[in-house]
Amino acid sequence: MTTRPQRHRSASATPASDPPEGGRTSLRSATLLGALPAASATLLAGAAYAAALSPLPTSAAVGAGICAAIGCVAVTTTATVAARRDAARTAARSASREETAEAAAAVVPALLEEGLRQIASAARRVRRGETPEPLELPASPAGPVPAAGRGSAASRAVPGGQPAGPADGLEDAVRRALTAAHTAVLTAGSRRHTDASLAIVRKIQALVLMALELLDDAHDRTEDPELLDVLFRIDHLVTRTQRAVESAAVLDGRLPRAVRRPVPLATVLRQAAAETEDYTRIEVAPPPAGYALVGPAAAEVIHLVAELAENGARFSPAGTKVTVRAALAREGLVVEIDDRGPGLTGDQLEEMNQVVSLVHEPGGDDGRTGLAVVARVAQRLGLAVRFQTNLYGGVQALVRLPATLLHLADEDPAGHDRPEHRRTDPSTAHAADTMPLGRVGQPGQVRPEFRTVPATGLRRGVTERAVTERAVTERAVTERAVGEPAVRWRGSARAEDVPGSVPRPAPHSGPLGDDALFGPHHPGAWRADDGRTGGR
Amino acid sequence: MARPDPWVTQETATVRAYAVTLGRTRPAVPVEADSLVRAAARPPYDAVSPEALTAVRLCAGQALSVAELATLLQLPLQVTKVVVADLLGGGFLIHAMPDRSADGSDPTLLEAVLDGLRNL
Repeated sequence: MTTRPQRHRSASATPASDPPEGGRTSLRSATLLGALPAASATLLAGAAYAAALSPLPTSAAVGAGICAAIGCVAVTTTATVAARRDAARTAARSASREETAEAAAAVVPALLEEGLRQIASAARRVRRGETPEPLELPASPAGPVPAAGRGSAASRAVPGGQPAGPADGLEDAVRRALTAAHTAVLTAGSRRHTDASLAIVRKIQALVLMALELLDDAHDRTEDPELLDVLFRIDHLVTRTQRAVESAAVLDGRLPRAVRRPVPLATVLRQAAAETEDYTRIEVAPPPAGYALVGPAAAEVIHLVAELAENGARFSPAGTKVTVRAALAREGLVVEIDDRGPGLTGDQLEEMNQVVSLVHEPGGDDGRTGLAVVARVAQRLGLAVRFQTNLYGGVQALVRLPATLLHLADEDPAGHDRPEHRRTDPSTAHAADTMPLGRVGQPGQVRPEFRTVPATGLRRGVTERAVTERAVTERAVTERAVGEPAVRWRGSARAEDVPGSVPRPAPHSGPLGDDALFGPHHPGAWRADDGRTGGR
Repeated sequence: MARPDPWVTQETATVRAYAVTLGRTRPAVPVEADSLVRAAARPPYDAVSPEALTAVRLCAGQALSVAELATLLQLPLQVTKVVVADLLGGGFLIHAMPDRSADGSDPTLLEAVLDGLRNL
């Protein structure tokens, strides 16, 4: 998403006055092809760097460390059990050694628990930029434990001078794994963002935005489908790079980008889909017409919806769709992102709900960067995010946007009776954009005019008109010949979609109250097929 | 919660061009930059993107070339061709003149060319 540069072509320029120039096009094509992949490669390298700078390696490192610890325990335990079986068979083990082994095994759970608690605490401190405490594991009841990492379990002798048994290494292995995990946390902490590295992230973002502008220009200069296909692929990569870089900024508490003018809801949802890896799988149902997001929030909401849509796509089968829909709620709007992937258990859903609602610890310890971004944006804008199971057996992510973020573009002349209704007319749009940011993201502060908007009988218009509002105004084209068609679309006018196929049921736009949204049985689930069965 | 200042502030947000056509770069039916189209009597009811709907509106009651539509829609020409081709295929737009891109034997055009050559 970027500001589309003003096109220089005059409206009256027809091919008669501007005949095709194959040679010129080819030359430009060659130049573009030569320069752009190099540029995008640089940007992708930058994105990788930005990702490395993300504050989340802490979580990843903790995860890796804990996995290492658990894996170590599992391996050791397995070995222990097997060895004990052998020992029992041969009856060669003395009673005293058995007791020592039992004692060592008994201390491990508490040791693990305490170690993991301290590591989690250290991770939290690292994330907050504080100095983490050193790891202080309880002493072994069987006697002093050698410094971690010194000697292997096999070479160590248990107290009493007897040869080492398999269980004897268990406690030592756990201690070493915990120490390694703790060290990983500290190491990750030392790689945390500095002002300098954040400046690099910002620089990459600036370069990405420049690349996108160049791509806009490049799209205009070619009619070669094959070249355009290459440009589209590059564009998609750069767009994803932009999101990755901006994720790094968001996770650091920054606001990488904002827009001034309200952005039609349709544009918000479609651009969110465009920013995902597998964007052709994301199906956007037409949102309630006439609504836009206020400029200051639009870029962030696009980012958030993109993260949720990508999450849905990534965790569902490749051939399935992820559906993005928007419906009016009692005081705001709800965006629903449905995947058809294997669902999650209640515990997993609860965990995800925790992750996205943790105010002070975005990201948790699971390393899911996307959810951390969702948590950050949701916190900043006062959005409610909830995951639940849908009737496809997949996951439905719900995002409730407060009415303070909405902008009603009322093109109905009757709207003049309600002067508080703002319009997306370019001359007045700026007023809405200057809405005090302090009001953004404060649930409960509802602009009174939204209460007067009926959930039904919505005025339509902004979604399509805002695309070329200026152009339409200039041409003074009216809708006289087209009438008032019921506008329905799905992300694109694919050839198979356009011909008068079976009329698709209108997407639901009924009000979804809080109870409906967050109750155990979301009524929306019963409408899960609305608006998308017809054309498939 | 206090909001930080944005690093970059843009005027507005748009949908990237590749998403408008879901990555397609070839028109489904032959369309040229100078093809003239106008809205059919049939309104676009179904599965029409905002860009496509605007295109139909712009062509209501007047014929426009695809190049003109591209400018008005602020879309790349090739993307506009794909959008227009979809609308032609769906019967929402119709050719306003005999399609010269499909048939090079338009007598009027040939006579005009002949006149031009004679006047050289």
